[in-house]
Amino acid sequence: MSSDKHALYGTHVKGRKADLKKDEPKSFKVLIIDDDKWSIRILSKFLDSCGFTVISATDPADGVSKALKHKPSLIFLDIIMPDINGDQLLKILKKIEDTSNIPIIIISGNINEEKLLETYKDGAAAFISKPYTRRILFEKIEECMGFALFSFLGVVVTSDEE
Amino acid sequence: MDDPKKLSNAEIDSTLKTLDKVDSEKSQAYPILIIDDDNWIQRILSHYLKSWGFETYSAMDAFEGIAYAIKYRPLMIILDILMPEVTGETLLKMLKKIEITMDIPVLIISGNLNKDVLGNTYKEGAMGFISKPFSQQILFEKVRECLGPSIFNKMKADNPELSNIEEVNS
Repeated sequence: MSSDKHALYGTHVKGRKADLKKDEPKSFKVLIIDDDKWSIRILSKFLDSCGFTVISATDPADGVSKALKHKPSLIFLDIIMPDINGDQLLKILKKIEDTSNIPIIIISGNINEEKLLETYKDGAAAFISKPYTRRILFEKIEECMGFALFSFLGVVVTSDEE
Repeated sequence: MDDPKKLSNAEIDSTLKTLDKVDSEKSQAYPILIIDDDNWIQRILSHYLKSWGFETYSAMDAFEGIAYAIKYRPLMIILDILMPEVTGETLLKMLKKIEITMDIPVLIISGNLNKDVLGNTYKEGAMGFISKPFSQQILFEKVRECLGPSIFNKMKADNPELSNIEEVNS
């Protein structure tokens, strides 16, 4: 992996910055729904450092409210929460019209094959197991967001790359 | 005042047949959401409510329930307390926390309304309670309790051919 790829995700994108349009830079909002404040902080830090706008919620109902209010481009969802578990919240978000198209990445400290299948069946876009590295996180985000992410970061993918 | 007469199954069928079909255009302004995994209860409630001029939406489970509450912004929600997976109580809590749905009055319906259920749901913000089995009269009163009497006058003004509960009972 060339170190250039790291540069893509850092705050300073060197070399291959495309002309960012002078009008409104598109802001990528990311919503984190997790009852553990520390998990939110760690994830927030990563996401913050590459320019995402981070919104967080510590309970499912607040999560739904914020998803509706901010219409994030991506949602991170902890699978274990009191009251309603993450899988049920996933189902809810997929059923609500306004949030059904937002890719959802499930984060869990404890996955097994069954849970993995269940959440994919219910519409999860990707799955991250704790603990995770920065690289894995960004790979998963890239998986879900694809090209849109690159244009946001102002990077032109040329054939010079790998 | 007579106790509301419990309908036998035969009477349910004939009662349903006499209910007016309301012009759906006019009833769209008055949506009510029913969240109940019991198909039969859904249909009974739907029939009664439609005859009084409401537009009804039915959800089979909590997931649909929340989605429809947000989508259709009903005037009120009739919520079965006993449902598989996500219970009515949990759903009520969520509805009361979500900005868009927190002000919608919720009428709890239950086949087993005991002190605990009543206490918990009242604390969580339920507006009314109805026990199964129920009569048309009781349902009407509870709906009026949740929505206020003026709604029926409004509906009647919008749709003069509407039959109301007094006419149906006679």
